[in-house]
Amino acid sequence: MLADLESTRKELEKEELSAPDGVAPSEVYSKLMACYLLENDLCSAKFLWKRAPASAKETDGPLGRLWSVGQKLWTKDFPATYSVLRGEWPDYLQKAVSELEGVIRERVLTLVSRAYTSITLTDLAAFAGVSADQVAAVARERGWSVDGAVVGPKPAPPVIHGATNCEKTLAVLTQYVSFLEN
Amino acid sequence: MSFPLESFVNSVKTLSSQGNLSCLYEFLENSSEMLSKNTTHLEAALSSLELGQHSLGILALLLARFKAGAGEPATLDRQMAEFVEGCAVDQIRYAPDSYAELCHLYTKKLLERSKAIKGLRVLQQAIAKIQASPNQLTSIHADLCHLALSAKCFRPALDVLDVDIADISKENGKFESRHLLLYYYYGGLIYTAVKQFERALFCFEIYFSVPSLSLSHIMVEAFKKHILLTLILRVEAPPPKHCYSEVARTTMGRRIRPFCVPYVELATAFAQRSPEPLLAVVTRHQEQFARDQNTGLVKQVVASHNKMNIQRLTKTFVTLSLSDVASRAQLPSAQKAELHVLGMIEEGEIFAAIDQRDGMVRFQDSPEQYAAPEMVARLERELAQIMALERRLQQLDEEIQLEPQYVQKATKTQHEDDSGQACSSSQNNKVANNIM
Amino acid sequence: MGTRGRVIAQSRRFPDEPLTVPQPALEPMQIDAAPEENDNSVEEPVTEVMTACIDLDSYIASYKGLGQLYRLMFIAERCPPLRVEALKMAIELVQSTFNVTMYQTLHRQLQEALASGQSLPDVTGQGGGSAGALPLLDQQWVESQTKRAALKLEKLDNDLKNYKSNSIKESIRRGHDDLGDHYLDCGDLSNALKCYSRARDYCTSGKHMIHVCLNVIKVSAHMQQWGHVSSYVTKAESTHDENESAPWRESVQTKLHLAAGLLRLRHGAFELAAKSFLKCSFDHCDLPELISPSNVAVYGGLCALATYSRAQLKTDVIGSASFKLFLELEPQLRDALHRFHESSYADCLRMLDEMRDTLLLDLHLSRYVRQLYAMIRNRGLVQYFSTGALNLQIIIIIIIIIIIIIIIIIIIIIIIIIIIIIIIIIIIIIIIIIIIIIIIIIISSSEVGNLRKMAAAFNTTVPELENELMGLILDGQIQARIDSHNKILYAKSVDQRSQTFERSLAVGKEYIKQTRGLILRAAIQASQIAVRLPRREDIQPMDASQDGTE
Repeated sequence: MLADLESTRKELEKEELSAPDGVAPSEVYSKLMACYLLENDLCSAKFLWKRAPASAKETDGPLGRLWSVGQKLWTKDFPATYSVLRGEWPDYLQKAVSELEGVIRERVLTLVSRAYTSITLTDLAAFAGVSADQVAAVARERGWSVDGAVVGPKPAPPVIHGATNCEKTLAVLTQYVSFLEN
Repeated sequence: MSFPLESFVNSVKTLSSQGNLSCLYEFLENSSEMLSKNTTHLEAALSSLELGQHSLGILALLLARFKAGAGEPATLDRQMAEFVEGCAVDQIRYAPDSYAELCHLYTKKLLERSKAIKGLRVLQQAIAKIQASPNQLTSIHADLCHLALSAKCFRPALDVLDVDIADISKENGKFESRHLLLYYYYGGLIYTAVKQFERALFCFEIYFSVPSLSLSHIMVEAFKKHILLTLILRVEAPPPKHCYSEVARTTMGRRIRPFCVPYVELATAFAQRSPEPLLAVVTRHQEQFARDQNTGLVKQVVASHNKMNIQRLTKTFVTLSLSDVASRAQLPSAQKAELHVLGMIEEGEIFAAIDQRDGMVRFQDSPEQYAAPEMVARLERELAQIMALERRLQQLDEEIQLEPQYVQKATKTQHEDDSGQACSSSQNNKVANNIM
Repeated sequence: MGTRGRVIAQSRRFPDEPLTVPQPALEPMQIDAAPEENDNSVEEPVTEVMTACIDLDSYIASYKGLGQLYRLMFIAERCPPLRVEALKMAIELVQSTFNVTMYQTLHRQLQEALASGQSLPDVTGQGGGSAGALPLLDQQWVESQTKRAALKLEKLDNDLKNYKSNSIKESIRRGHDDLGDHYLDCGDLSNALKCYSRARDYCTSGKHMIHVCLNVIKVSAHMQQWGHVSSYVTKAESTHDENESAPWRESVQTKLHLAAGLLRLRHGAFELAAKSFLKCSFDHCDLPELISPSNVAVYGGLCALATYSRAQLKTDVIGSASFKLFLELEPQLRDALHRFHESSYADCLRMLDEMRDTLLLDLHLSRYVRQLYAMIRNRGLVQYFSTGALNLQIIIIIIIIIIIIIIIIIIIIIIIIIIIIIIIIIIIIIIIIIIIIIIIIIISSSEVGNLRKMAAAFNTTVPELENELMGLILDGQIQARIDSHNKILYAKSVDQRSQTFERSLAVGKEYIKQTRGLILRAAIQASQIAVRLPRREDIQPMDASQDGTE
């Protein structure tokens, strides 16, 4: 699902808008919510929840639980996020949810590597949603140093890019100069 | 089908096949009364006309039906959707005002039934059909934004809002300032909801450049939101440059200020370092904010004040303990301070690294070296935008200089200068400035 | 507050501008400017000094005339322990003039002071006697003086009328002068001013003009009308008289500098005031109605400390031969200046604190004491930081040069001597470099920006010092960052390149936004949209939009 996330999302949105009488089947809403969470677009998720018809918002339905994931993400309550994600999900959402968990964990760990120079193992376990004994392994995987109860995250090395096209750059630069002389 | 309707249908058919569309338009204007009297038979008339060839006629019939308010809502919606999708663009360009009115009535009906989401696609298509160029503003834009806000589905409206307006459709004289103001007000609200605060601020700043002889409620509300947004973004009020007249801005400010006293107080309290005055103002005027439905924004203002305090710390300290951060930024505890700092790092508002072992935060300068290809690409993009805008400005300038009225007055100025009359030239300058 | 701030800003930008006093502008929300008798902005709260720190007799001896009386009244107002003594001395002095109203005022104040039962422990003990409890209001003296004053006034008036009928300019001028002097003696300042100003029209030579100007300056200073003072000082400076001798001209110059300095001090333009005071020559310092030589030392020294840079302090104040004579009169201030220059800031500030009470009792300086002290302290902090940074840079450069020389020597030796000896020498040199690096670290931690040392030097605690430094950094006076973990102050270097990029991106964004707004506004104008009340008939849209915009 991640591969063509954007096109899936656009299709789902179109489906929602052209639904008869303005109410689409609840599957559409749940899938759309999952798309928004995968893209980390919490604002759209909030408004989707607000406009979803009451029929789709059953108390324990998938849409409601997905929205509670969104709420926890908004307040940065990561342990609760992971616990909700680990519940039971209908088939059409199963793949999306497992991908979502991986995506969220990746995002949080990147943030930790950017923001922390040393962090306690318990906090890291809370952020990554793994148990205390697994968290050291997770840290070592990324090349972080583990020192007793404390971990030293390193920021990821910056990505190297390919060379640019010289002629194109020259053309662009000539454009600028002629514009400035005008 | 009754006799007048039959004759109406026949005239429509003949005039359309002749291609005499302006006559057809006038005829339709004249027969609107007749149509309103025969609402029951409109359905039959509709079925006898073809969409592709007789769009104008169908437009008039639909307008009459909507005005009468009769008929099942589902059929009306369906007919509207079919019409918008299938109508001929060149035909409806003759009657933009009726077209717009049809859309207004359609919107109103949808809002009454709280089914706003159905109208979004229809209106998006409607706008695309009637626009002479993608940058043209019509009165349907305001309707689209209204529906989007009511339906809480912003994607179609955002697509329309992101395009800059360079032209305004006259709609045969029926375009009112209300539509412009409403469009930008709703647009601003939509941008605020999706947290694109800079575009929202742009929308609300339009109000300083619309000429106005009297104050309207929209302006007052827009001004309140403008104040709140400047506080959230922590930028200063827009400096007066050539595109907003400084006089208009200060007169606007002065006239509107008495209506927005709590907001002005909020702005003054924001400038202080401690959060107590700010919170005091918030609690004091809580009902006023709730009445204006601005409580959410006010909460964001308070959060922005905390961020401002923390940003001030980045400017003066290299490392600082978390408890010091809490005390200097006047947050309740070191835990809270850590959460705040983490949030700000995530959004990229500050660059820092937290060290939990010592309980220290180390502030860094922006690591941006401005040497990556993405930066070059970004610069190229922005330069291209600027060059396009500059070209547009030059175009506008040329158009005005070729305008016969302007040339007349400019040459008249020269003659009168020769004969030594100074006062009329100043008037002409005023006119010329106005046109510019 | 706005007036003073604006004046300081102006004086900093144009230090060589001729003496003009900027007029206070009206705030946009004010309807009328608050009517004021004089040009003072009274903002400092009245601080009372509870210690009797001045010897009144010697203090007063250096002044004359109304200056004495005003200063004694000021001291009486501000210093409760000295109140009764000052008032009694003032009453004694007043009885030698015709100033009846002043006598009555002083007597009333003395009554109040004694009635509230202040310092004198034996008020009830000594009944009569000249220094006793409540000397009675000498009504006879009052009446006789009033009569005598009236008589003298009549005589002078008649004389003046005679002179006027004779139309001899010189005598008319002298008559006005005498009349003015008499009014001054009676304490009627406004009439005195009028007479002196009238004498101006009858001046025949530059010397007379200057004489008149000096009189007007004296009276205006007593009335605290500094605008007049300033205009007359300018007038006097521009008047030349070639017939008079150089010493006389010098004394006039000095008097004008004194007046100018006092005027600038009252307006808060401390740098210009210091300049004027420093130009005064000691032998000709002769304006006892307003200011004494020790005053000059104090005013000039404090203003210079607060506003001059280190180099300027050294050349103009400490190195100046003429000002040294003034400083001899105030040894405490001279010591404070020397300590500041030697960077022993704690000692300097301590000495200034000791002098503070005396200064608070000075008529002209008291309202600026707090501000001047704060400025001196800030200047000390900034200098402490910048010189330290400078020293470290010099040391680093010297060490780098030494290392380069050593490396060159190494290369020469390698070519000549065998390998084992070379290795031994290299090891020795590495050890030397390590020692030098250790020395650098020790020096850097002990000299530049170590917050603990800095706090000791300025006699505060480290958290308070952090707060003060934060204020200075935000104001932009120091380019630095504080490392709160290790308590070090780092000098910040500004990366021009990234700043330029940042700024250009911001400018681009702003331009795009404004151009979009401009295009939109053009579209609005083209379609002639305006917010207006709905009207019946359609008026000319051009006129409407014209009225609505600028």
